[in-house]
Amino acid sequence: MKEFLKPIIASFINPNTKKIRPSKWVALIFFMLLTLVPIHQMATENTWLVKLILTTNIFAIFAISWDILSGYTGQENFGHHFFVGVGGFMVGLFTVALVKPGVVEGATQAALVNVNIPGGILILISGFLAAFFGLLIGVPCLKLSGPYLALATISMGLIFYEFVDKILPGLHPVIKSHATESIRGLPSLVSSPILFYYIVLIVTIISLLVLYSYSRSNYGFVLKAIKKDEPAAKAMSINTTFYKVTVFMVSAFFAGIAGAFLAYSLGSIAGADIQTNLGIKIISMCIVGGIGTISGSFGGSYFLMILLWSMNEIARLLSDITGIDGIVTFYKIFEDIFYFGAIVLVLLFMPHGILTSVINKFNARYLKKKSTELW
Amino acid sequence: MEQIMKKKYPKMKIACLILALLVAGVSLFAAVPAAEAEGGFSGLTRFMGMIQTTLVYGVFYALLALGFALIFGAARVVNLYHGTFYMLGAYLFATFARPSQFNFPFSAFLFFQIVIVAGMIYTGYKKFSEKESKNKPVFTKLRFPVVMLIFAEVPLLLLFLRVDLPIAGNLNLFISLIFTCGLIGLLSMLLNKAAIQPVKKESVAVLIVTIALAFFTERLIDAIYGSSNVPVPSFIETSTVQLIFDATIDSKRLLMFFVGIFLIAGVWLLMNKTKTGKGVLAVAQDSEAATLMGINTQFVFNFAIMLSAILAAAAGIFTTPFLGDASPAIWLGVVIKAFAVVILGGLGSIFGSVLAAFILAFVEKFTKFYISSSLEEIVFLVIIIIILLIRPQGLFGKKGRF
Repeated sequence: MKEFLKPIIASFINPNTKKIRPSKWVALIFFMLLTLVPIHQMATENTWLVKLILTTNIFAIFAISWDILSGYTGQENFGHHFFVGVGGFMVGLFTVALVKPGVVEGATQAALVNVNIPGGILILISGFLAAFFGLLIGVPCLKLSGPYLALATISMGLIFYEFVDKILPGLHPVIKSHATESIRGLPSLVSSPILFYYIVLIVTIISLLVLYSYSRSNYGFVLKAIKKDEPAAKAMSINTTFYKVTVFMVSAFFAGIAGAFLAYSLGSIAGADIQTNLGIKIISMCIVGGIGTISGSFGGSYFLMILLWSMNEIARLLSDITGIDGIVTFYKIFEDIFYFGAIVLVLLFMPHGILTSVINKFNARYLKKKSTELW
Repeated sequence: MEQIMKKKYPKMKIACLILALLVAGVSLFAAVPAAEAEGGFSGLTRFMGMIQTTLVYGVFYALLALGFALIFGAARVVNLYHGTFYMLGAYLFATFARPSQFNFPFSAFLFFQIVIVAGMIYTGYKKFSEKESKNKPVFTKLRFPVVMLIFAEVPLLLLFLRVDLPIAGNLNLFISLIFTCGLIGLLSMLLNKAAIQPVKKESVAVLIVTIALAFFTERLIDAIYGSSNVPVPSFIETSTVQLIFDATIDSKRLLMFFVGIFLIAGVWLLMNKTKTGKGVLAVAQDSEAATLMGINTQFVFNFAIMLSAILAAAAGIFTTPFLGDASPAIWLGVVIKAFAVVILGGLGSIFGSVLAAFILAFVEKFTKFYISSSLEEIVFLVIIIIILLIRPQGLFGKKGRF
């Protein structure tokens, strides 16, 4: 056990100087600041900041769970929205669609499942279900890599979308097809939104700690070895199959949990929420932050979400000042374009990601360290 | 011809035979109970309907996959932007050819707009990647192209701000076709130069860049044209053409079928009879050996991507009139289908993908006509995954380099 924990502890505390590493202090202060965010809501009765940080945290879990699978192990998954959808629809089905009687043309149809699962257990179940799907996808996809894996995962996501859009609505009258809210009216997980914020924050911190430790442990080193050279790792008598399937399951588990929280925070879930562009948005967050570094993709998701939000605010302010309504509409049209433009620009001009590049430059200039290698 | 077939595609004949037997056997087997159930000719009509739909869609998928396989084979690059060429082809063609109530030559304006934007982006990219100015700050390097871009783009910005100006060119259909193909060709060269070549070493980075650019273009088209669909004019009036056994076919589909066959034959001739095409095939076999034999690989990449983009645009122009109007999101299904067909055909086997296109079209349309039309897409996607798991190198391909 001590041998297992040694590299993890070393990533938090410098073993030579016995001091906590400076980057961990930054993270600690950052999370301390995040715990203070609800004060804003209590003081001003405005919910925008809490909502923004809540959504960002959920997306950050998506990003770090993608990163452990694709950035670390090199199994590029283009269908991460599939696991998100599994979590989200699990919550949607077992809180509304299957447990409540539906009314169609005046006649009441009985509920399909007559159990009421408490929210916390439901979230855990959706995580495990997503992990199970991760196993189902991970085992057959062991042979595949690169474009072949990309095609397989995109197709998985599309199959799930088709299933949700065409087959699921036939199951129960409450579920609607071709709508932006196919299952609506989800109950809130806890009574107050501030408590929900804290729950999501704690889950985010736990996920970050777990995945960061996972990547810095001996398991993580094996994952890196698989990415660099899989035959070489096999030659070192490493059972790469086990590690690849495990990391698929771990990644899917966290994505499923975050998907369940996404459904709770939206109050509804639909096929439109889990389309292919969600998968690409998750990838864009990791790439902007720096692929293959858990903290980088965490920072990248915060960077992108807050950048987009502040541009929205600037557009609103400008339209308030100038009196032209067109600016906000203009921005709304272009919001997604920024996502996809950012990913292209960063990949072409800064392939290590913005945050990683900045950290590497800092390290090179002040600490005389070599930059880490990516891709 | 037979010797060439034997030499280059030794399994082609066997595969053709298997396909023909499969189609004939399975469909006849399925046609009998359908005929019994509905009585008389309806089963046969349904069968004929399936066959003609299979043929039309087979040509359609072949046209898409041929281009995709060209880049996949020659440059070892998976270009997920391929579907966007299809979408853009339909949109640009509709833009140039739609009738407008103004005599204002909007299409010429649009044409020059796009050329200016492409040129400025290219200049900016060139300036950015210059070696001697590496130490200059970014904004100094990009000042000229950015200022020019802003000047050129003020009219387009006005368009984006919901000015109700009908985007229509009122041009002759053939001139529109030439304009569209030219623009798409330029765009594909630009894509190759600016986005694919810098990250070409990493196959996954190419995937991410191209799919992100495809989503980018989707949103851009959404912003310019609005989310409502755009009708694409057709070269031919809608009418039904009588075939044998009471079967009829839409004239637009028939046009698509013949144009597609013509284009595929043209590409086959280009690949096998001209020096350029032979160069592409040589690079597809072994790019290093081809370089040693004096083939300009860079030119071959450019040529392959241009040809593939123009084929996709042609498919967009001729299929959207009967598939429904052009909408910004159609590219994803198209690119997935092209990718699947190429995987089934096999890496490095460019004309194997033509056969694979017919096989997949048959499977899809068989599901539609005899099982359920809502299962069509799911069956197609499930087949992709089964192919990937059982035989990732495809029917006619060798073990790939990926």
